[in-house]
Amino acid sequence: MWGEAWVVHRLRRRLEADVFEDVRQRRRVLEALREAWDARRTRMGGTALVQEPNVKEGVGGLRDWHVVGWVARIGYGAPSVRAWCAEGMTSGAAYELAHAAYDFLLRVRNEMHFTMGRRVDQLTLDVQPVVAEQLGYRDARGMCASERFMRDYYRHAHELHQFSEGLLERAWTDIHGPVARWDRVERREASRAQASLAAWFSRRRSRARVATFSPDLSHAPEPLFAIVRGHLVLRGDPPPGALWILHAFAVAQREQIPLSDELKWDIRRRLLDGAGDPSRSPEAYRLFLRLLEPRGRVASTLRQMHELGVLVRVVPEFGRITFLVQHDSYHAFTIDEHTLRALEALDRLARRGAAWDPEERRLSELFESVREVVPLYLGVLLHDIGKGQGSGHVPRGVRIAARVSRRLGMDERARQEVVFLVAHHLLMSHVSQRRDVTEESVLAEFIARITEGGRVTDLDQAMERLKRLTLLTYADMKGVGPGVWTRWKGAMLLELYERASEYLQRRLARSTDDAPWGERALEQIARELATEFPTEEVIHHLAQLPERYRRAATPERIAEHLRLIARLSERPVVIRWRLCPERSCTELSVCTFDQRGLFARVAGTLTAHGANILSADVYTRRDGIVIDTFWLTEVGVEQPIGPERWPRIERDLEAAVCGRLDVAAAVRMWRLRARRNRSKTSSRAPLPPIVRCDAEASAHCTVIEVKAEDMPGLAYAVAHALEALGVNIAFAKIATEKNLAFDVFYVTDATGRKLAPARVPLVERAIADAVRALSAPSLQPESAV
Amino acid sequence: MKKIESIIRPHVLEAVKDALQEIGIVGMTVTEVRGFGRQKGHTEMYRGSEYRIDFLPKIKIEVVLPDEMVDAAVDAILRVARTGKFGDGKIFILPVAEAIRIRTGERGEQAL
Repeated sequence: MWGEAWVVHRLRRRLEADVFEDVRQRRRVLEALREAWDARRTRMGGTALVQEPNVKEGVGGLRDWHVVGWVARIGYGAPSVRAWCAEGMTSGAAYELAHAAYDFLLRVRNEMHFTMGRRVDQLTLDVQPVVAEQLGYRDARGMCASERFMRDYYRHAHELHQFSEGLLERAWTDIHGPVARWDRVERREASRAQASLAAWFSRRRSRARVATFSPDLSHAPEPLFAIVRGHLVLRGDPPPGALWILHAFAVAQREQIPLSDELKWDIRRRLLDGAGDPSRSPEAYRLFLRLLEPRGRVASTLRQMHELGVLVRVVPEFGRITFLVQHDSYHAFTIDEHTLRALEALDRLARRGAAWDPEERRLSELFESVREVVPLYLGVLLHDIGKGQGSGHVPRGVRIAARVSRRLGMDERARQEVVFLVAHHLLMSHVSQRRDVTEESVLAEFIARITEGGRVTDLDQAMERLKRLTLLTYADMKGVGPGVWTRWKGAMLLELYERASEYLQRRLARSTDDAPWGERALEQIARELATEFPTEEVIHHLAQLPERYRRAATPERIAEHLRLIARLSERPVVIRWRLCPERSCTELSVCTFDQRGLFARVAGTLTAHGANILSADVYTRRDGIVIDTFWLTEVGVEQPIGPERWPRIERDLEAAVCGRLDVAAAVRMWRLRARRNRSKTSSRAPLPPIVRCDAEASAHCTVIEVKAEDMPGLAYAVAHALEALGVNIAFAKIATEKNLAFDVFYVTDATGRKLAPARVPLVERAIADAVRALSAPSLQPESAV
Repeated sequence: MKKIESIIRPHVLEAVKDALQEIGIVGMTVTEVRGFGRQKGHTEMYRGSEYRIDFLPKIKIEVVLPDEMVDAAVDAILRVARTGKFGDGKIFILPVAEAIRIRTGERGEQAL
């Protein structure tokens, strides 16, 4: 301070009297300090590793040191932090590190003010290189000056924050007493919603419980740990060596409880004192690998380990990327932070969320189906480990990953998987977004990379690999920064996965037995249904149906169809009903022999009974057997067709198929009745129907698309028009979305070939007219039957 | 001045960008979009016997240019973005009433 001495003296006297001597006032000030500490931490991003840290107010900033000083003075009467630490609050080594950090931050802040000519405390991206240069940093070994500077900055800020937090925890305990300690911790946990340290912990409100965990330490037969008020503590003094540290993490992970601050302090102190290295023993590595097994719990454990400096002891190579900045606006975090966030994204997939996007839900399914997750987690942990030394981070990463996985004692197969993931962690991003994945050649090339040029021949291993790589790609993108992962990219990634997995199954089947497409798939389905149907029958059935059917039908559905077909020997038409409450409709399957106008007759009969066709699948076997599946509701209400109606509809369906029912008349009757009953629903003219024929979409059929406003009897009207023109329906897909109907018909002419181009306009017009006639408002009597 | 909006397959973005730059177009805006056309993806991969209109990922490129460059730009895009398969996308041409460069206030074709 600079000025009149008497002002300073008076200030000091007032402070002594009003604050330092008054116990209640001290408490109040300390409370306020504590709340401000929590609030500041939350406000400043919860971590020191933000891209543009605030030197003064940020996590690990100058304020940390100031608060420690204030607490020392107000709570303990110590004139300085050094004096306070000399009293035994912390080890000398810890103090020196923290003080060096404080010194560094001061220099940085001063440099910022000098260079920018004004009071700036935020180390923005444009300021960083300037300050770096001023402080004497230079480009070296693949890192530019500002990257090397920021790495040091993060190291110091992190150190300072660890130091301050630890000290303040003890201070709060001392001031408020040990009983209140746990309340304090719990309250703090709650307020740290965003902080990385406590975010993942679930709350265990058990009473004091003893963990009967005994590690394989022959010199410590009694359990090492206890759980007190939901936190893990050591019973007694820390054992020699450092294996117990890894055990602590294992127990905490298993019980899903946080480490107590005391335990964290013990760990930190043991590491600082250097009396024990948790690494360099096979036992330690084995313990570490076990930490990578529980799905959904790995990231939080590894983050804790990293914050306490344990991770870097077990995997020293991780130290290269700790606090390592990637200088572009794309990467919001340092590489170690990015890696931890990628792991967290992976963990989140293990927890099913109801409000997820379909892409993440699918990825979650993939994650569940992966059998071995340790290579995946390790792959994510190491995927960027080669960064920070200039270009070529992928091959370098591969070498490091090979070394690390060998040191950790993984078996050869697992090592290969880890190395593969690190080597190809950019592949799927690139292929899905930059290459045409609908091209066979592109898929072939991609799969060749997955199988390493055919070295991997086992389908299961290749599929596992593909799934893990997909998940790694997802995790990597999620961990880069907000907004990098989008549903758009997710859709692209999954498209590549689905196509590649399909190709893979085909490919590897071909490599084992030179069968044409589908043989292997056919055999698979036949095997699944072998209990009920002879294999030849299944294959015979599938061989007569188009690709579409094989791809779309599940084994259950195929079995259903086969059962229907089996009953065709007893009666001309086989019908099966099923209520679908989850879709509020009724499913109707009709199996019979094909004939001219069959679909029109069935659709018309349904319409005449007041059934609204929501959607329909029509398949015709080459031998003439037809399987039609309809999903129906009652016209006007979104209710399924009740079972009481089924017998009558069945009777009429059979009559219609056998030619005994005049379907056209029945439909007309129903329409007249319906119009009389229905009040004018809307005065607006219905949308004009859109009918389009496509001669290219299918190899054997002309595809007719009809888009119209959904009306009861629409399917019948279209089918009837087609029948009148002598056009045969081989396959149909009817669907309604809100009040629009999208009907697709795959048709042939009477000879079974595509429609002649000259006929197409006629057909289109006829259909459009038929649809328009449906909505004609006039109640003109139809021509006499 | 006209604006060309093209919906294209994502993987041809680089090629389209290069082709447009070759004919002298200096600026463009690119968005990741989702959409569908007539095919609605139903001959494609999404499995299951449900008929779903799926929104397929595409890229939208927007370019504003002088009238005389429109034909060359359209030709360039067609040349490079066409694969011949369903899903190639569409090009739309819209009139532009005015263009202004924010930094300098220039208007009209000078702002492009």
